Amino acid sequence: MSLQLLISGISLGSVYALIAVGFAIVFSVLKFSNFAHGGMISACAYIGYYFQRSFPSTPPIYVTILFSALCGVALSFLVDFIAYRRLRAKQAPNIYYFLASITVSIAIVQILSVFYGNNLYAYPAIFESTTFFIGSIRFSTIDTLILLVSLAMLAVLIYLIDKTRVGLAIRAVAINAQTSKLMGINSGFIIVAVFAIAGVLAGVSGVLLGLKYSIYPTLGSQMMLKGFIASVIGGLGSLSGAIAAAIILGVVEIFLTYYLGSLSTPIILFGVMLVFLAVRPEGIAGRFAKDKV
Amino acid sequence: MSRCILKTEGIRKNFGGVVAVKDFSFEIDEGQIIAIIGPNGAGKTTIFNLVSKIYELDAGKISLCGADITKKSQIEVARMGISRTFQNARLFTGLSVLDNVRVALDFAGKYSLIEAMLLLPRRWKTERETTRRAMDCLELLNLDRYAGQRPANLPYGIQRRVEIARALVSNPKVLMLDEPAAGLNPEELFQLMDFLREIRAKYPQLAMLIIEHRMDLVMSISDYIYVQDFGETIAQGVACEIQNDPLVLKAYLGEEE
Repeated sequence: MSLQLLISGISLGSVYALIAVGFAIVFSVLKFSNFAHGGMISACAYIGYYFQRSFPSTPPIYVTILFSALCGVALSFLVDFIAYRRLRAKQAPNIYYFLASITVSIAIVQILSVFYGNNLYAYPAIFESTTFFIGSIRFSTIDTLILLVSLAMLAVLIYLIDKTRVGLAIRAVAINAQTSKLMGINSGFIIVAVFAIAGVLAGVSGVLLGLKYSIYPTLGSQMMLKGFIASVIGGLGSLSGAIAAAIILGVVEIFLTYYLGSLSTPIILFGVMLVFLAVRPEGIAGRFAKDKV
Repeated sequence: MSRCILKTEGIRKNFGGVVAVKDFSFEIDEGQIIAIIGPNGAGKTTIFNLVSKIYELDAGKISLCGADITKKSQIEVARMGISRTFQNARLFTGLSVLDNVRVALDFAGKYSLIEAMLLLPRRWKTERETTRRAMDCLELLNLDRYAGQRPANLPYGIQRRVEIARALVSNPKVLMLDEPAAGLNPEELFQLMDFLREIRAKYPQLAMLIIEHRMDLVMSISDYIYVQDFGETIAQGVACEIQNDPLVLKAYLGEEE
């Protein structure tokens, strides 16, 4: 039983990791918490749902994920265009980005509520059986799929950040945007790349959450809160810290839910975050996120 | 005949009512080393900031190899071959020494995000080439053994040299060094002079513009010197002319009875 809980926890944690990373990467380059990410996840969950439904026979899940990821990128650019671009041009203080991102998130949730109401929608079943056996151990099919897709996404992302020139440029801009410009790095392009990556992550995590839970307008915002907790505990702006914290969070949540129930679990999770903020505000990774202009 | 690389004509910058740089005109040829000296607050770093486009010009014109670059952005100017260091070694603290240098080759890289995702050969070739160029440059400055370390853990003199490597790696036309000797001990200063000579030997076309207070360094390596005081050029010439110029002595030593 506890092995199944562990797999389930890691699976949930890996989705939180996708969310936390989408959140952290925008923070690391632009130095603000992009709360619009939650709205984008919800929107992508609905996009994936309608994509799944719009064909006579349900398309393969990877096609849906790919489509949702592309829509996530488009949505991410749209949010940037509407909400952030002018703030950047004016070099506005961070508080305005904060307000803009929260406003966008609420707006997306409201738009979804107007069109779809607060009903729960469930993705059509994509597997014949909800569980499968390896030896005598039973695994949840959906949890395993989520785990594999998330880990693959994270692996690609780490490769991109650590092993390619775009990744190196992103890291440099995150550390010091001004000096990067003098190295000839096009920081405008880096911002576009970062929003594209965040969009892909929102798209993929939207569909994965849709597969696991029923979808409703505030699904993304609620899940983003967990991703946010993970990115704070992991050390804001640190990708590896955020991933580690997210997976731990997922495992702890699943075990707590199993033993204590789903009502008291959030209280403990948020309690942990408060303790972390009080004791170790720089996060697991151990470095304070610095706002540099 | 050597070719004029960088030229400024009457560049000016005001901060409020203060004229930080007043109609500064100069030119530097291929392979030349020019020093800008003067007391603190003379506007020397402001000249660098104007040339590298951190500041907008209030008046004047800058040209690189005959082309007008007055209206270009910081990024464009950097890509066209003007690179620089800072008074306080602005290295990327979270990156290794090697990555700090590789960053400066970003714009020379020739593969896209798509190619990187598909693991196409151009990605590997470009990354290998970038690493090789960065390592060559680190070797030239005798820094190769620090390649994997974080700059914050290294002595200040080494950090300054890493910054020079970073500025040099993209093979610029003009290298601007802002007080490269500041904070160095006498031994490090000697090393720096040696390295500057080696850089000159390895890159004979490179034009170097140096802001410096240490007169031993300035007098020994520069071909020509501009002396700035309160934003104005008060003297210019070769080392021996400058050393005996009464205006220069006055600016440096104050009014003498």
